[in-house]
Amino acid sequence: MDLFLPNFSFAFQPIVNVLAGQVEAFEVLVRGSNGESASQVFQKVHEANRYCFDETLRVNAIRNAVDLGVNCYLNLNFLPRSIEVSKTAVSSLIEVAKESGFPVNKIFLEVTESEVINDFLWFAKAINYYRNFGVNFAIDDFGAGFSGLNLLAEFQPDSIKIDMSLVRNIDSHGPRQAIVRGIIRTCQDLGIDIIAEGVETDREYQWFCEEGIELFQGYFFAKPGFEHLPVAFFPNYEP
Amino acid sequence: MSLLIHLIYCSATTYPMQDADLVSLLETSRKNNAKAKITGILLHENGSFFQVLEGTQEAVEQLYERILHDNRHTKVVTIIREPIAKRTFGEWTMGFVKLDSQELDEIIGLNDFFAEGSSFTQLGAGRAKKLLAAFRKGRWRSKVKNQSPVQQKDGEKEVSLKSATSHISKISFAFQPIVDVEEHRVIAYEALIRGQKNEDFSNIVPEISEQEWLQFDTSCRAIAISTAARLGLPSDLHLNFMARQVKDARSAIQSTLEAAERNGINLNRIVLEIDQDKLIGDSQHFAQIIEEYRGVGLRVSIDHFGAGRAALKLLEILRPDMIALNIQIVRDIDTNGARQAIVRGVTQTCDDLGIDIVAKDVNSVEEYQWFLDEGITLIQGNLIASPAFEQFPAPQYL
Repeated sequence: MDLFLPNFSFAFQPIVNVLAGQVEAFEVLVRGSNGESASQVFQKVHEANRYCFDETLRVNAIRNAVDLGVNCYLNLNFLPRSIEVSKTAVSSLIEVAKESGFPVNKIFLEVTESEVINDFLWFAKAINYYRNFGVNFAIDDFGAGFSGLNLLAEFQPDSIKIDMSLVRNIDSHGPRQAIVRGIIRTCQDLGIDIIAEGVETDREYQWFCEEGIELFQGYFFAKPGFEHLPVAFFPNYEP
Repeated sequence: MSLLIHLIYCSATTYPMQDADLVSLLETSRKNNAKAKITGILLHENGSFFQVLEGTQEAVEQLYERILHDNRHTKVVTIIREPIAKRTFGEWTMGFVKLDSQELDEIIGLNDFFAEGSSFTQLGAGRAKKLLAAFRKGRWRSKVKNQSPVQQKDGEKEVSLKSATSHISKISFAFQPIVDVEEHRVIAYEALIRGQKNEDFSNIVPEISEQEWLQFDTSCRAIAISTAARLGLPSDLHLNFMARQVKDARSAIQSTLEAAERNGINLNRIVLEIDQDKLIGDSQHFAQIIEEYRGVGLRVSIDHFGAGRAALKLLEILRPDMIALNIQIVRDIDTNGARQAIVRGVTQTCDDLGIDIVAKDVNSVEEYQWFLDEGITLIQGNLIASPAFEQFPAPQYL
């Protein structure tokens, strides 16, 4: 099977906790072995091998992160359908984590909102099973697709990442502010952490700070570092 | 005539404004606004501005461009920019209100702050009024730290209302009220499709082809309108919008407006309920089409909000007047914490955007009470009144 899979490597982007002034997690992003983008890598993967590749990536990502000395949370992207396709989709990852001494409860699986929408009752059930092992779940690109809130009725992830289409220019965009305030309210009531992702400017950052958001990801703090852990910029935190 | 719009923004003053500063600002703006036929209101409270501008699109955009670059304020947040049917502040070249936060909290109607004897409570119901209410509640305050509605388009394709398909002759409607349970008032009746003998719709029309669907949808609303008119419609009328293709939306809406006119029902009494899940095509494009008809008074509601694809992003794209929470969210909400949290978040967003919320399919006293406690007073459901075939049933208030 491996013969059909392209060469790949990883980049790491920090999620920062601006209140604590420390890196909360690293998200692992797929790259080509020469730094090509994730989409370029995935283009080379045959549809039939997609989930197998997804699984291979996660296993390698953990090994890689351990080699680089990651000791905070580790965020990995995850296609929910892989649970259906491969029985070992999550268990292989738990095994590798144990083997390489990375705590399972420091792993976050990020699931894109749009991938969950088809059958989220089934999804919630499957996910909750893996939660028993201590794996955490985050909804990625929250607010970008069309499931959004009703997803939270059936399944409460440990955190959500507010999609960058809602983040962009939020400081001057009223409807976006109103939507994000609603998301914040719901998540606070459900005890779900919020990460503002794709933050690029000080003004965007300030807006989220004033709303009490503490977790951030984006170029404003650090670009993804190819095969290394980049140093994050910590701005002043004034809620 | 060119497009009438309103634009509402908030901002923060760059320096502490003295009364004299405000007076001079106001004098200049009144003079300029009279010339450009711009009306509206400007609120100032402790370093925050909140302004409504109404006028033709060109005039408002031109003025806003200048406002954006005015160095007396900063942190300018555009809250809404949309076509309106008529002006809310028609008599004011720029009504001005200076408030302190305590006064703001105390005054329910903002009555005393308007010049010339007019008052907040006399403003027509509309988005501007709702946003003013949100401002009153403390929303939309830009702060600097450390400082204390369209002309109808001509040339649209005419859609004939021939009752060509055999399905149409089998259709009639039941009506169910949407009530404001606080004011004990029916705000609207929703027209629900039925067979001629009050049968379930799904039994009547098992299969309508894609080709027939547009005409079917269009004819349904025309029948609903004429039935409602014949029965003496006492309130607004909610109609389901069942067109499946965004590309058909313009002609579907146009024909509905024509049907309303033929039956002597004013367009501002019609609310289209949109089920995003059944609509195929680009939401942005659909929003543009809706926008064109806002100016003639048409309102839209997003049905099944929070279910399927009808979610947050749509509030930004479509800017509905109303959303409906349906059975998926409403059922057993009194005991379901996740649903409660979702509705609280949605309420927060809708309050800030001046969007009304209707709780539909409310069937139990416990559900009813929960919504009331959250301040959601627009209720529809069998608890209040079941749909009645070809009549407007009276609601039972609890």
